[in-house]
Amino acid sequence: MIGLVLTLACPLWAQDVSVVADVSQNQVDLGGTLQLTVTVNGGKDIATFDLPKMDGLDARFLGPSTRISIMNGQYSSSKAYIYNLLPLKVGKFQIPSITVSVDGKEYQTQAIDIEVVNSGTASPDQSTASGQEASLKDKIFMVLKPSKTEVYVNEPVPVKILLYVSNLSVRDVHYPEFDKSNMSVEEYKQPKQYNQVVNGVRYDVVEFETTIYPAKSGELKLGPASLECSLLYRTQNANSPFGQMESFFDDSFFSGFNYSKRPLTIQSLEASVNVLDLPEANRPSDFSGAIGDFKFEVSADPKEIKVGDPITVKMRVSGEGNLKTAELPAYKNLNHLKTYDPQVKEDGATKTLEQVLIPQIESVKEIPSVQFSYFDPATKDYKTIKQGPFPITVNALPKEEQPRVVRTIPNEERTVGALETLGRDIVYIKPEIGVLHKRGDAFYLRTWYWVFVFLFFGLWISALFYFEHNNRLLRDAYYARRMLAHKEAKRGLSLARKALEVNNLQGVYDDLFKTLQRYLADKYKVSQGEITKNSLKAHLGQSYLDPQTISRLESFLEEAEQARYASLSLTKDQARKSIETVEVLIGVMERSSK
Amino acid sequence: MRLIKITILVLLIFLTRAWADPASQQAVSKFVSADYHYKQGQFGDAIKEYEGILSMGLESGPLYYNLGSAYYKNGDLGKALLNYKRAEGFIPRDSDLKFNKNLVIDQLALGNITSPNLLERLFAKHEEFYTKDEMAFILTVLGGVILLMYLFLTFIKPVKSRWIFMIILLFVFFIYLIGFILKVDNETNRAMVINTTAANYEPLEKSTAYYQLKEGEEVKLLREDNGWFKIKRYDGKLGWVPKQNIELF
Repeated sequence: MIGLVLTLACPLWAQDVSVVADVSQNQVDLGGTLQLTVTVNGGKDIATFDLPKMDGLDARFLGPSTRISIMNGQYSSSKAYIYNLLPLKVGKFQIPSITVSVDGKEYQTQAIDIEVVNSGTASPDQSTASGQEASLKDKIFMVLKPSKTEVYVNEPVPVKILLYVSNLSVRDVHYPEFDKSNMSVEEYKQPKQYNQVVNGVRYDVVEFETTIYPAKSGELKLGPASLECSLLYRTQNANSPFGQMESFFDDSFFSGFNYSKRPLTIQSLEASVNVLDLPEANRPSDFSGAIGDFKFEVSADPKEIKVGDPITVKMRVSGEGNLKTAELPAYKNLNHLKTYDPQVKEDGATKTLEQVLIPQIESVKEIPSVQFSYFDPATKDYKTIKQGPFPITVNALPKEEQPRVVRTIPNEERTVGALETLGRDIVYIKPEIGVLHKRGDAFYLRTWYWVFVFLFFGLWISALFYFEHNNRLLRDAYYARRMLAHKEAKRGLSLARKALEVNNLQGVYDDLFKTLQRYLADKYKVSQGEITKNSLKAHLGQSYLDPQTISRLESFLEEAEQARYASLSLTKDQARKSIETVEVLIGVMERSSK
Repeated sequence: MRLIKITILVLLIFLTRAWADPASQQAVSKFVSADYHYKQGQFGDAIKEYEGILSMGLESGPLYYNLGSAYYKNGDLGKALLNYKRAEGFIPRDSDLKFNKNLVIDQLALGNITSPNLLERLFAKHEEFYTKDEMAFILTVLGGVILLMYLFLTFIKPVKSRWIFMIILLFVFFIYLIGFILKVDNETNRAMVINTTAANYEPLEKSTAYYQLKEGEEVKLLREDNGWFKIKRYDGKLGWVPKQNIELF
C-alpha cells in the first residue's frame, strides 16, 4: 500500500534537474573572501563531488543547505553547497566548470571569471562616491524590455521592467515610472519575484509587467524608467554600550536593530520601438480599430418564436490584442425586424454585445449575417470573419393574443405593446420650488434646539427627583421620619412656647425633652425610649456631630430630667433660655445632617 | 377659541415668512425663468438660472431635481446624477426623482456598488428613506417619549412589564440613532466624479495611474493639495485626482 502511494506520489515530486554555480561578487580584494554556491535544483540522489583545482584561489567547504519552496502552487527543492574562496594573489582567475552527478546523470556548471585586485590600489577608488555608485550599479540595476521593437499604432506591446538586486536589502519598492507621452499605458500587473544568475552572480529579480498602446507612428522612445526604493544598510554604532559585546551580536538576527534606510532612485536605459501606421491597402470598410488575433462568435436565441417576441443576439469577440476602439457590428434598420440599442461590455481582450430584435411579421425567415474585421500584426494583413445568416421561424399570434390596434397611421401600424417599449427619458421638471432652506442649515444645529433639549432634560431630572422623593416617603418609614423630623421639632418648640406663656414651666421642660428625644430618634434611627443622657454618646458617636454639641445635648437632657422630676425651683427666664438652647441645638444638628 | 386663532395666525406668518423676504422672492422668480428656458429647450440658460439660486445660499429638493434634469438634457450625466443625489437630501421618497436617478445610473453603466461595510449595507434602505432633518426630529421626539414613558410607567401608573416597553422603545431609538450617525458620516466630505478620470498614486500630472474612476462614481474627499484632491473610493482604495473632475455634494 505504502509502495503504491509512493509511486503515485513520485511524479508529483519530479522536476527538472539543473545545476548552477554562482559567486557573491566577481571582483574581490586580496585579503577578502567571496562565496561560491553550487545549487542543485531538483533531483534526489546527489553524488558527492569535489571542486576542481583553482589557480590563485583556496576553497573551503562551509556546508550544504537545503531549500524547499512552493511558489505559485509548484513544489521545488534545491540543495546548495557553499564554499568560502580565499584569493591567494592578484590577477584574473577562472573557476572552472564543476561536474555534479545527480540521479546517475552528470551535469556541468558554467565557468566563472574572478578578478582579484590589490586592496591597496582598489581602496582609494572604492572610497570615492563614484566608486560606491559603480559597485552599487553592479548590485542593483533595472532593465526596460519591450516585447517587440516593431509594432503598429494601437497594437498592445507588453513591456517588462526588471529590477535586479544582488546581496542588498531593498525595501519600499515603488512601481517604476516612465514618460507616458504618445502612448496609453495599462495598470501594472501583480509583480513577480524570482532568482536569476547573470554572469555567474545570483540576483533576486522583481518583474513588473504592463502593456502600452502606441498612439502615433514613428520612433517611440520608451523610458528611461525610474524606480524609487529604500536601501537598508548597516550603521556603525561607535558609542554602543555593548563595546566588545557587539561582535557577539554581529549577526543578521541581532543586527536588525542597527540597520538604517536610505532612499534610492534607480534608472534603466532607454528603449525604442518603431511604430508603423496601419496599411491603407485592403482596409475593410467595417474596420474599427481592432488589432490582434481574434475569434468572432454570434448566436441568436430562441430560434422559434411568435410575432412580437424578442430574440436575443449575442456577439462575442475574444482573443489577444487591442479591442478598446473596436465596435461590434450591431444590427440597424432591418426590414420587419425591430432593433433595440445594444448593450456592450468589455472585459480585457473580450468584448460582448447583446441586442434584442423583435420580428414584426411572420414572413421574417432569417437574421442577416454580420462580419467583424481586424488587423493581424503577425500576418500584417486585415482579416474579416463573417457569421450568419441565422435562420429563424416566426409564428403568427393566436387570434386572442393579437394586439388591438389603437390608431392607424398611414404606412405604419402601432400597437399598445409597441408603444410601451419606446425609448427612455427622464420625468418632467417640477413646477414649484418647494420649501427653501438656507444652504448648510439644519434645525438641530441651531441654538434654540439645544436650549430646548437641555431645558427638557433639566425638567425631566427634576421630575424624577420629585417623584422618587414622594415615593420614598410612602415606602420608607425611616426616610419619612428623618425628612419630617425638623418639622415635628418646630411643632414641639411652639408647644413649649405656649406652655411658657401660661407659666407651666414643668410643661415647658416636658415638651422640650420630648421634642429633642423625638428629633434625635427620627434623625438617628433609634426608638424614642432609647434616648437618655447616658445612652446618647453610644447613639451619636458615629454621627457627624462635633463632641461639643453632644456634650451640650447631654447637659441639657440632664437639666431637663432634673426640671421634670426633681422639684427644682424653676424661673421663667431659665425656661425661655432652655427653649432657645434646644432651638439652637436642633438648628446645629439639622445643618450637620445635610 | 381666540387662542387657537392667534396660534394659527402666528404659524401662518412663520411658515410663509420664507416667501415674504426679498431673497426668496428673487429665488422664486429665477426658478420660474429657469422653467421657461427649460421648456424652450435652452438647457444651458436654465442651468445658469438654477445655479443662480444656489449661489444666493438657498436650496430645495425641487430645485436640485430640476437642475439635475437640465444637466441631463444638456448631456452632462455626471452632474445630473450629482444634483439628483443632492435632491435626495430633501425629497428622498419622491418617485420621479427615484426614476430619473436610476435612469442616469443605468446610462452611466455604474452598476450596483455596495459598501463593504456590513453596518452601512444593513442601514442603507433606512438611510435612503429619511432626510437628516426628519431623522433628527424623530430622534428628538422618540427621546422625549422614552423619558416621559419612564416617569409615567415608574411613578404614575407603575406597570410590571415596563422594561419590555422601554427596551422596545430604546431599540427603535438606537436604530434611528445609528442611521442618523451613519448618514451624517456618509454625507461628510461626500463628492462625485463628474468626468471619468484616472486616480493617480501621487498628485502629479506624470504620476502612474492607480485605477479608473467613472463619471458618476461617489468618493470621499480626504484632502486637497495644489489643485489635486486625495480621495477614497467605496472599496477603500486611495488616490489623487485633478480637482476639476470632482465636485463636493
